Amino acid sequence: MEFLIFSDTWLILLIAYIITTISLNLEAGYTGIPNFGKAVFVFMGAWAAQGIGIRLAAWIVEKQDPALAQEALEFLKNHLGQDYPSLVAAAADTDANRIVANQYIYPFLQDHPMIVAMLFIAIVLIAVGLAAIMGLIASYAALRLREEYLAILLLSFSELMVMVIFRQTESLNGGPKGLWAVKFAADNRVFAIIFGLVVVVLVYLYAEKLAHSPMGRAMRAVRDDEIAAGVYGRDVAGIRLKVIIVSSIIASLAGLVYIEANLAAQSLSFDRVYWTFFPWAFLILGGMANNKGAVLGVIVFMVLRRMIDYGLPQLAAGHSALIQMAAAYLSNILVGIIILLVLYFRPQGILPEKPSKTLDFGEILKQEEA
Amino acid sequence: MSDPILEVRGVVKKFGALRALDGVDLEIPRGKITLLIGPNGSGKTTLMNVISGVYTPDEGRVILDGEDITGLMPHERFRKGLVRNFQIPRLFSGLTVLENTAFARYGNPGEGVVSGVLKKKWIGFEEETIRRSVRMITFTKIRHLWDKKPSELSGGQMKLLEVSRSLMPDNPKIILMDEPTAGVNPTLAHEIFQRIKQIKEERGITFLIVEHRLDIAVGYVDYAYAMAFGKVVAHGEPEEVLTHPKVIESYLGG
Repeated sequence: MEFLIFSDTWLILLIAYIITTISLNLEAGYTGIPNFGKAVFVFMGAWAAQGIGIRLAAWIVEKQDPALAQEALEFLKNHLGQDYPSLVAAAADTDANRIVANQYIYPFLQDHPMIVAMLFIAIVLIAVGLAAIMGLIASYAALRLREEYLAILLLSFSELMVMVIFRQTESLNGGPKGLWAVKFAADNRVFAIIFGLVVVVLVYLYAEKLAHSPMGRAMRAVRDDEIAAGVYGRDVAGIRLKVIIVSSIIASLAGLVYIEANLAAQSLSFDRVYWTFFPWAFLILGGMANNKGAVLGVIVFMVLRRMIDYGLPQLAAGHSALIQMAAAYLSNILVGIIILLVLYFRPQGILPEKPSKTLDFGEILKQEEA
Repeated sequence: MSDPILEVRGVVKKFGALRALDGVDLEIPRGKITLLIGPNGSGKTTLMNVISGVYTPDEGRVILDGEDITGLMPHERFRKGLVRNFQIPRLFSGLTVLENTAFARYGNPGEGVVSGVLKKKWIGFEEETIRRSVRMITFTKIRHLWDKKPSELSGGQMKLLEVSRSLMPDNPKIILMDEPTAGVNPTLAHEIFQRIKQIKEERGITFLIVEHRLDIAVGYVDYAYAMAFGKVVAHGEPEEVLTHPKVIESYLGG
């Protein structure tokens, strides 16, 4: 599916980035929490569907259709020469995972729509729960630190989890190769786009409502002066903790959308450049503490990047291969230049922060006049 | 003194070799306005920070209404009825004048990540808060600036916003004010003190006020403490304290 130069792969990435950037905006834009560990929270959504989800699906197959599970194990014995104690063990093994998922679990799920629906709900809940737990762990030490240290701690935390633990430990999520995730529909890409769009709409509405609520005001107060917020009775650590947990939950949904579109991805796909630094760049470009800005930042950035990546080589087609190669690198260079220009000329972003009123203050002022 | 609302006992606060507070004892009488004076650098603001929990003292206790609050966080002290404002305004730069004022009222049911999006839960409280905020900034004469950010205010206007904020909380036991009328014109400064006196009389709230403009303040206060070099040098009736030899010496000598 290609429309103009924008592919469905691009659209899915755009959706996942919008979700991630709105969640980062709640933390960094509104509350002043420098979360440089976004990648690990996004990754929790993928892990829920990969390492955890595929085991859960295999377990369901074993319970619901023991004959099919037996058949799968026989097949693996004959073709791979491996004797797995159970389908769950086989599904989580990097050698057998692809065969078990594609030949046994996906067809089984396609025949059992009720099970798919329940499995989907379970995996969403697992993703959300994992992200919340990660948020709690990350914030426990982090809430007691000053901004700069907090940023470094979150970055290290994310690197440690994704790059060290998940990459090195095959049993968690297939190690460097990654595991195939649970598939919820025959056309997983269309499913991912629809699910992703629903999440985008819900998350955007939530973030806007929150921004225009007393909570939004409290978040901005904590960001602007935590001592004054504390002196006026606000539990600053508690407010930060709540925001980190909610944002982590939202970020995990981005990971779930992304993995459903691709089904297989290495842990390495959830690295700091694509899932931490890019969302920060979108937010800086679009405007901090402005939800419309966050969305616009992602769109502007992604369209520009796609045009450079895809459009320039087309213009260069027929010319030397050297120009085509240069065009691929050009996008990173131009993206860097754009961020520098924005920071220099318009540090508040395309759409700067606006007062987010809880009520129609002007109307109340008029009434009080009378 | 019988039944003080706030007691400070033997408080020491050191910054390196400097003993900013060197064994301070205070008893703030309940339901009165107490003035705290002293030359610059005598430890008044440090004392405010120790009482409100921004600093932890090296020695000594702070007791609010009979309860030891020395180990509590600032927000916990606020919830026990201790309100303060800042000598150098600490305003929320991203919030407007009206929002800064509204935030100072604690207890909004909409301050949660779930309840925040349920407008029905907080609209009543919020509307009342905004109305009160409007009346407060009308009194402090900064109403016309309601939609402005703190960065657009003059120094005196920022001070008035600090005063507006500190008078917003619902049921404080004591309000600590650090130079509420600095940079404010004399007419308005008198009005602020009249308002403080009115709040004291109507609601029984205690005030502890640091003020350099003694000519204005002295007509409104009931009691006074004087500090010099991190110690209390005199306390008693305002007139007595202002004419106390040690106080005069501390202002003139130095």
